[in-house]
Amino acid sequence: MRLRDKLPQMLESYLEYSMPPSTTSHDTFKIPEQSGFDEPAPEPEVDGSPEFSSLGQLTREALDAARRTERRTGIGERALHLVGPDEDGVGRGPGHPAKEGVDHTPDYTGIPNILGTGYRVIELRAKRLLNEPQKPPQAA
Amino acid sequence: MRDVLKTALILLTGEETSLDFLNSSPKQRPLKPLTERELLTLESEIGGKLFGPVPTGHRREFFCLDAKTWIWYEEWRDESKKLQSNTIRYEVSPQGVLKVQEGGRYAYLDGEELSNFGLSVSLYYEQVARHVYHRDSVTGDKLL
Repeated sequence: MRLRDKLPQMLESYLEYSMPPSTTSHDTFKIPEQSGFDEPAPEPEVDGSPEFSSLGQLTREALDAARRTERRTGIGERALHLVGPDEDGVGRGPGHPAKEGVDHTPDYTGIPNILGTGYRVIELRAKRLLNEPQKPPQAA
Repeated sequence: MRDVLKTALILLTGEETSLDFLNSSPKQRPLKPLTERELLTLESEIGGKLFGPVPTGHRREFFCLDAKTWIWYEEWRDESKKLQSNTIRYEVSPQGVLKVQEGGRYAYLDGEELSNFGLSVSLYYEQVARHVYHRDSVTGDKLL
């Protein structure tokens, strides 16, 4: 059967599927009213997070809380608040763990400069790898 | 000495070989092509010295791995002569600088540590531009 002969049949099938659901057969696919899909999502329980004995040993609860926070804020900065002081109590060691009463809001000062410097280093390296010809010295 | 070298070359190659290349100064020879790894090594040698003298028996490296990643590596031998090492990865993003250490330890830099990191990165660029790539760190022009 050629395509031209198939067209009416295809059109009929299309119309059948694109018609609004007027028959009760579609009701079986309706989302039940008590499904909970329309209810607002529960608030993440970040503040109720447990304490952690050592830096870097985040428990599953902490990771879950961090993920929830990350989803909400876009960055994982609140996750830092979940990390307690180190075992030996030093607290400023690797990673500078969060402490009570310390503002751990990230300092954005200088971040664009740091990023820009990284790109400039890579640019220098790329130029050197390409071994670009040395420009003739400019006349004074 | 020149005659000895010439005789040796004839013995080796079996034909007369010009020694004119010995007259050119090292500066006139083309730049030796370096791999990215070799460039990184040169950079890290400078980077490791940015923070003052390295203690005896320690090896320290600090280098820019890619535009958004900086690496600090230090190794030393402890009292029992066992080799110890510490690697820190700094991931730079518009949100901040994430410090990642072994054992899944991570934290955003803040306060003085962030300022020091920014300063180190600037110093690194200045030193590397001048001593590895022979360029002015401000204008980017070749140093003569």
